[in-house]
Amino acid sequence: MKKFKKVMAGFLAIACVATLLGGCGGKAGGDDAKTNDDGGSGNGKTKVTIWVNGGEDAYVPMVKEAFEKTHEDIELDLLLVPQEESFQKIMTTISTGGELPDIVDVNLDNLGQILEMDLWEDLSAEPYNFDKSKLISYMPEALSNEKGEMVALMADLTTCAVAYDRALAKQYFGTDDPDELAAMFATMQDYIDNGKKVTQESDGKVFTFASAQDAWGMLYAEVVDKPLVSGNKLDIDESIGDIFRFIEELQKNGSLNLYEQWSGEWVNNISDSTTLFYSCPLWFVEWGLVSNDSVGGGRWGIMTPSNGATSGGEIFLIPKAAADDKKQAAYTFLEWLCGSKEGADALYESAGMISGYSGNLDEDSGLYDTSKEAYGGQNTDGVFLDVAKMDSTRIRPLTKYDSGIFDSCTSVLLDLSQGMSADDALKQVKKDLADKYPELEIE
Amino acid sequence: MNKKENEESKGKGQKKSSGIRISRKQFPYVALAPYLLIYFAFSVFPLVATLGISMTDWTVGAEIHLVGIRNFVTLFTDGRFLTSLVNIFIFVLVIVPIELLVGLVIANILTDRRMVGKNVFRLINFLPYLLIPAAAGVIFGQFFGRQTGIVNRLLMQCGFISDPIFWTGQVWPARIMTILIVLWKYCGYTSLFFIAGITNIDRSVYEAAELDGANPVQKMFRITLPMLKPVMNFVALTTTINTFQLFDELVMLFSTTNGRVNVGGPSNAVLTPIWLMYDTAFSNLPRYGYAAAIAVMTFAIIALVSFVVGKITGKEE
Repeated sequence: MKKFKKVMAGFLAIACVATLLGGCGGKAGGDDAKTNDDGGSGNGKTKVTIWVNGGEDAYVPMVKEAFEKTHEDIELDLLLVPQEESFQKIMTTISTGGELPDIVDVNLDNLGQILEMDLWEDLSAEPYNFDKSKLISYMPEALSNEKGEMVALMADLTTCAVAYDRALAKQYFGTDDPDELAAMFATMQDYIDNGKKVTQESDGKVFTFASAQDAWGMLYAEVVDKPLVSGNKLDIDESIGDIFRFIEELQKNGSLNLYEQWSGEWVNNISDSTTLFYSCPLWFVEWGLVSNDSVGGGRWGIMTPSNGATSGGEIFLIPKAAADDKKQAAYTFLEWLCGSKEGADALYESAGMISGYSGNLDEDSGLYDTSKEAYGGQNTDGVFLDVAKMDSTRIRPLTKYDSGIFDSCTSVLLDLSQGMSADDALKQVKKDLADKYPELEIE
Repeated sequence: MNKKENEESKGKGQKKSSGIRISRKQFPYVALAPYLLIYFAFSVFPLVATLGISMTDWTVGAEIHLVGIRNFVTLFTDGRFLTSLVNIFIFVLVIVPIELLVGLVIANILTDRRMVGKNVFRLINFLPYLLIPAAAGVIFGQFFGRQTGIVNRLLMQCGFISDPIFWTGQVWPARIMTILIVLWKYCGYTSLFFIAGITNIDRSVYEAAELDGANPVQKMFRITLPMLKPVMNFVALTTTINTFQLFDELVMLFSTTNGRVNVGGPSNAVLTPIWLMYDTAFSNLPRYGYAAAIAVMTFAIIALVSFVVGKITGKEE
């Protein structure tokens, strides 16, 4: 019996770990991944395979029809990969020597890691010769690797603004005009001081931000000047440290509500008029506030941030290993999507998204004439384009550690919002990073 | 047909059907071959491969080097790994005894001859186990919400707490929430084994005890528990192993509606070795070699704990 138990214990232990490993390996392929592959292009068209980062609401499926209409010799073959699995699938494919699609689609958060690999076509060189002036000026540098080769293109305008509750702004600051409010909130200290005043006047019922993550999001988008890791040294004391100190002040003043960003409760809170500000990337205008606000009626306004700010973005690359005809067809699509008026119009019409095409900045591009009912008729597009024109707007030099640093930092935000000091939070982040990346120099 | 003819016809039949002769000794191996092939390909090979990978510095976009036992040495100074071990031992020590006890109580109730609608209750009892982790994560996310969650509202209305508990944002509440969810999900499943065990106990033993004047408590401790010992040993072992594998439920509980996962929960309070292994292998900066070392070490710990549990529960046999 004893022997049987030993064998049984061993068997079960082996089976469970082996099953787990097998399960983890298989996850990259993802059962959730959906393809619209029709079994090959027997119609003489060049088929370009794209692993789309996200589901049906990603940009590429929305512009596919418009592109194929004007490019009858090219067919886009899309594999929709859920966002949380997308980068993992690419990494697993690269590490196992598998075959990448003709276009790789990643989020900007992961670009630092991608740029370190010498796997991508230089789109600014022969035979592509992409004209960098077709992109908004802050983009090309961020899309280039260490050798200065521009290996990626970016589809969407990634500037970040600040959304506010018009009724609360009028009640506590006497105006809901975006320019007047932007002048009132010109520094971080203004957010702290004005927020404190509102908290006191409302008996603690109105908050500056709904969660620490919202405050973090607004300031992290403004960390644009220097990389978080220089050489091999972690350099976050000023950049991240300042954000933590900002959150600490807000928490001490009672200006920070205690929701967890994107939890069900946080989403429901959007309909309650108890929060002054939300960090607002371009996509948040529709998919953050409008789609989650059950009250409506032009409740929201958008103002420019105190400093140039960018957040996220959809990045596309062409692997060197792809077949030559496919590479050319892939480039045709990317140039159309990211660097042409036609692509910009298609993206705006189908997805409501402004592309990073530099022509969008022209006053007569049409984007300055739009208005949104949910924002009291405000031309919100113009605000994001104005941010793109700010001198301080740029994308921070990315490193392969950025995504991991982001995760470690956001993991202490709940503690910060419950009274942890900024110094302790910074220490905890450094400790976490030291465990994650032993090769980093951390003071 | 006489005996001779019979033997002849048998011989003819054999000649026709046996292209390949398999002896009686060989037959079990041949019969088991398909299973063994699959088992070695999908269980043993990955295990051996994992051991090999654990001795490398394999990551993305760099050459692979053999590093010997360096990854294993690093594990002993890795704060995240040590925290994950502390967490998992807390979970095992709390969950296993409670799950066994509750499973046993449920099984006892559901095998009571006087109970009406036994089968319906058995089904209801098993339902939580059938719920997929994603659904469980969503449901419990609502239950344990800080501001509007039912649990906080109930506790406040009963006067147990004055301020709402931030279940997903504080160390111990996060652990307690995890324990409650695991118990809710697996107690019914565990009770199934006990139900099967109790059903197999001969009724005449209970009837004899009743004739001797034994009360329900005496019957429980003198008959049911001793006769359930083999089942109990098995359940203790499998529950321990299952608890070590905690992963899916945690990921769903600490995910937000935009798909972002707060790995490890607040201050890594619910980080488990399996979750750490997954995060290390499939994060944005994958370290396959180190993740494999975590997997191997976790395997060794599970094997050791299983051995100890087996020793303790099987002591008297």
